[in-house]
Amino acid sequence: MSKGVRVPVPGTGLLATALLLIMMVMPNWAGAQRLAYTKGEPLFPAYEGWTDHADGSRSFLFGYMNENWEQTLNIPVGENNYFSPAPQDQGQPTYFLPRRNRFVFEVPVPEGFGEEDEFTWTVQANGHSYSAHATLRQDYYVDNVVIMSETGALGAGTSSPEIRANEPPAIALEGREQLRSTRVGQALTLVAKVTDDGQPPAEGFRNATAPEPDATSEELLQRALTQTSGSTVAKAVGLHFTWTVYRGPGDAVAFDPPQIKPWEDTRQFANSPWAPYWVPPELRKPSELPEDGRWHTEVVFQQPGTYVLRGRADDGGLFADQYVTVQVAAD
Amino acid sequence: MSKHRIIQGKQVPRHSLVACIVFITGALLAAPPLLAQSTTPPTGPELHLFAAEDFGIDPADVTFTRDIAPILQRSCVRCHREGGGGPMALTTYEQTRPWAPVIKYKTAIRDRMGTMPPWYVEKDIGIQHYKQDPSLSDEELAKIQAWADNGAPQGDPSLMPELQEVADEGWTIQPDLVVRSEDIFMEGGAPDWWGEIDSIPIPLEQDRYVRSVEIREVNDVPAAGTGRQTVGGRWIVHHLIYRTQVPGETREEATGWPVHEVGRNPDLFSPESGRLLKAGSEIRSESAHLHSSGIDTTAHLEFAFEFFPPDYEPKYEEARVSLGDGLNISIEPNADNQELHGYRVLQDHVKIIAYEPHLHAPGDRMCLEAIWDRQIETLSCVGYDHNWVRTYTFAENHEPLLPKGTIVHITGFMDNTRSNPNIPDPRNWQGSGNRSVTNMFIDLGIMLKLSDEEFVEEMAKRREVLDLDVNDHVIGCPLCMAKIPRFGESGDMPAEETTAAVNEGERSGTVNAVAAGGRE
Repeated sequence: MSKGVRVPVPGTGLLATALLLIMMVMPNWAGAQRLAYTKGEPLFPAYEGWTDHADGSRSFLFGYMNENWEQTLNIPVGENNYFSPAPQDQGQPTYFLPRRNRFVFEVPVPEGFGEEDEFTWTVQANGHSYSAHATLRQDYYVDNVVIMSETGALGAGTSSPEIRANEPPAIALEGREQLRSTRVGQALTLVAKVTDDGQPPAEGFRNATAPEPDATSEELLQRALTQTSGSTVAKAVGLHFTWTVYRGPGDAVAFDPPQIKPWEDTRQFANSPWAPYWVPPELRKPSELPEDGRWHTEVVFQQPGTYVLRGRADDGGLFADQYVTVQVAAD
Repeated sequence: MSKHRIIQGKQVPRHSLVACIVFITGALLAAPPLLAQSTTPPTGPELHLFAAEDFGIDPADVTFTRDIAPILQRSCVRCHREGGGGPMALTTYEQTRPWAPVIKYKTAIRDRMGTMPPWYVEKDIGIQHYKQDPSLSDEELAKIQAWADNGAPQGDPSLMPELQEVADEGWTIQPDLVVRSEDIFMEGGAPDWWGEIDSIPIPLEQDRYVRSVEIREVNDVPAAGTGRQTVGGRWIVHHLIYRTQVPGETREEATGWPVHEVGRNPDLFSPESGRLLKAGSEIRSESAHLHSSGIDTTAHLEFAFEFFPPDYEPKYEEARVSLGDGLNISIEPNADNQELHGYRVLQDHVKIIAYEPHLHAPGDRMCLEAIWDRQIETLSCVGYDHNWVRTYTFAENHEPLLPKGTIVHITGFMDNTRSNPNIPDPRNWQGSGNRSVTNMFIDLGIMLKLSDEEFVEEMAKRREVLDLDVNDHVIGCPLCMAKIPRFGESGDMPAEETTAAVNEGERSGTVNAVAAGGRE
């Protein structure tokens, strides 16, 4: 069977020549699904949308996609990590975790920001520079239901009045103010009290189930061999709390206990709510949800300097963040 | 050797080119200002152009009444008629003539976003036999192009075919039962929303198996659109995952139905696998995805069911095969032809009834492949437009028959450039998500599960119906030519030949036991 020739339109000689010249000076984009590289790939800043608040103010929401499965990136605010128009520092991270990280931070929409204005976050990593362009375009309007849906808490998009009324958890950091100090190699203990309204329910909503404590090897093997769906973005819901490095050389920081990954590690049995078989702490057997809501974490730094740690309490649908600045002196 | 030679270097006639430029210029002028800041120049779709002479047709002899009206009546006027939902009627010469250049342009796009009719099967790859296929043949495109290029002459009025009444109130299927939802209101400025709709009682007094189901959204969006430039502005219900459930039944006892999506065509179930609609059941959904049209919109959904005869019993059950990847989607800014891949190993022999790409705004094309042993075969490639989500139901005796162990593979092709009018801002990276402006990548098609005996029976039937000889090959049936006789029958392949084939395969280490002898 033959077919007709495909003729690009517009096709006038002058216009076609102009387009060709433009195409020739453009980068040669790969334009294909990437292999599972561990390092060396680009990082894409992501514009997640804009939202409004009860007081009438509005915020832009940003995240990122680090294409690398292992490489974390430390990119200080400056020529490789900046906002435009100035100021360059709008509270963005300088330490980037692997893979997809949604709704990482928000920036207030400046006064007088109009429909035609835009706000740009640019990050250069591994030799590639990309920007996220924030506008108030209607398509990017985000509310809590959108956030829950986008992170995968609603599966393919299932909700109820109760779930839509979900409120984010609350964090109360115990101890001194949000500025801490310690020394290299000396453990810093952080205690965060987390409360939540219990929505969305971990059990019976997204069907995460833990194996019984006395499950046999055969039963665990069969569980592991069962293929899962994942046709849409899907996240196991259930309250959890995670510390990560937000600014500073994050590879020099160790947490005890190991923290639940706040990034989308979608590999089987990864310690991430987006991983198949991941079970939230309250459904683990025995339950790992602190009965008093107080999450204890010890942090050890291997390099001196100033760090910003982010504690995120996440009920699976919505989240709250708490930041702590830690000044680490040399040993 | 086909008699249809490829037209090398054929140019778009001048007046058609003007129409195209007007069309594209209009689209660009309507685009929001920020798009003008994108670094990627927009390009128009590629056109499929044919010379009438190659079909033995004198271009000057192509007329509306004799040549064009029958094409329009078959493939266009169901919508493009007074009250039919299309933005203009194309039922008379006077109505149609002003649109001749646009008709030429839209039909020549053929299998990509923006074409009409909205059916995107690529005609040079994969299976070519589908139910309710409204697409135009090469010869029909040649006629339209010759007619438009030649001034769109009317021809002899006496040759004008009588306009057929659109039966069944415009339904594509022949409904036995129609129910409607309550009104759904969506504010013009609202964010996307997911949740429940009110249950819809179904006035059915006895259980019936459903042959086909069709859903349409009826709303108060103006026919000319809302002016909103992004995806799906004509409709507010972007998907509906629903079931029918008798009050008191559990979710597991309910009947699930194919997902309704924006701009969808009907689901046609296999004669061997109708869906059960139980007496006294009601439509329930907690997963309606609403997307603002850009203006305050009131809509409702109408559900039409066409039944099998009352004594019908299904033969096969459905295979639950989840094919797609909704998690690791990464779409670069300002780039087209970006591939996404999804795989699944079949746990059963299957018969694929329908192929249904579900992408979102950047979706441009999706292909379905079957990988059996060493061979990779493309079953279907289709274009995609998230304003018109299509399901492609294979015609009887052309459904893929795949052995268990086959790897089914989908490849999505994403266009995140200014050329894609569904994209809000192609300068931005895009990932996965449920919003219309973030991304899904799924095949929502229908597969039936076959036992060994049923699989062999289906292949034997295929050989008979298609009258296959030893040099034939059936796309989508990698084992059809293994000539495995029906269980309990003696085959036409001599036993010694079968043994020799197996031995040869064992020596080379490549022949699968199923391929050689129907065993694993």
